[in-house]
Amino acid sequence: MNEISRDAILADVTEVIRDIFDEYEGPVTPDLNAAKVPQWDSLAHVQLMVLLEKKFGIRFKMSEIQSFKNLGDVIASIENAQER
Amino acid sequence: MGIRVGDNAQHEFTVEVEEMKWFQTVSRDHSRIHTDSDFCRERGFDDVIVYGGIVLAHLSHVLGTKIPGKNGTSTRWTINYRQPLYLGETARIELTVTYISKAAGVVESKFKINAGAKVIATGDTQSILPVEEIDRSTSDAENL
Repeated sequence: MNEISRDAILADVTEVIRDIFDEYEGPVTPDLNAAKVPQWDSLAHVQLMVLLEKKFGIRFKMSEIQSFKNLGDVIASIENAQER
Repeated sequence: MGIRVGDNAQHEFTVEVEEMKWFQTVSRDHSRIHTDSDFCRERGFDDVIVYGGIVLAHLSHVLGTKIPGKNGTSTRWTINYRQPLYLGETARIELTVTYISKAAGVVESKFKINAGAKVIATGDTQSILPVEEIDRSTSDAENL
């Protein structure tokens, strides 16, 4: 996986995370997950997925959305989608 | 056949005094812009302005009965009020689906509310919906 593109994706994802989870002030790193962000419930997860689809012009698969364990998985999926 | 990008729905409504009184009771909003004709005229309006909440109630009608329909759950509404709606004026809501994420089960729409040529409000909505109600031919995400 290309570290430069992954860092660029993380930077863009961070913008979305800061916007939707506006009460979260901790670090946004690939190991971030819902357990660490009180606002990150199932509804917020759906909204996060839609915001990321729009920001990156990609389409997640339903199976991907259900299997993401942390932000690193999301970033990997975005990178894969951009390469398709 | 389920919901697709580009689908649209319309709804017309006219607000009368009885509904204004009902909403005033429910909301306990007694602001003069909705209750005092003289106050409104002094500020350049024709008469009292229909409560924005009543307008939203009619948007709720569209969302709950037409698009996305009875199985949808609203997750976001935004509305920009442009010009006042007065009692007795017939308003028309036009709502169009702009984005669907089949993977996330999300339907987004834009709406415009007119009274004749006058634009009353514009905005957008987001709802979650059981994925089987999204058209099978829809790709994982579509947008206008």
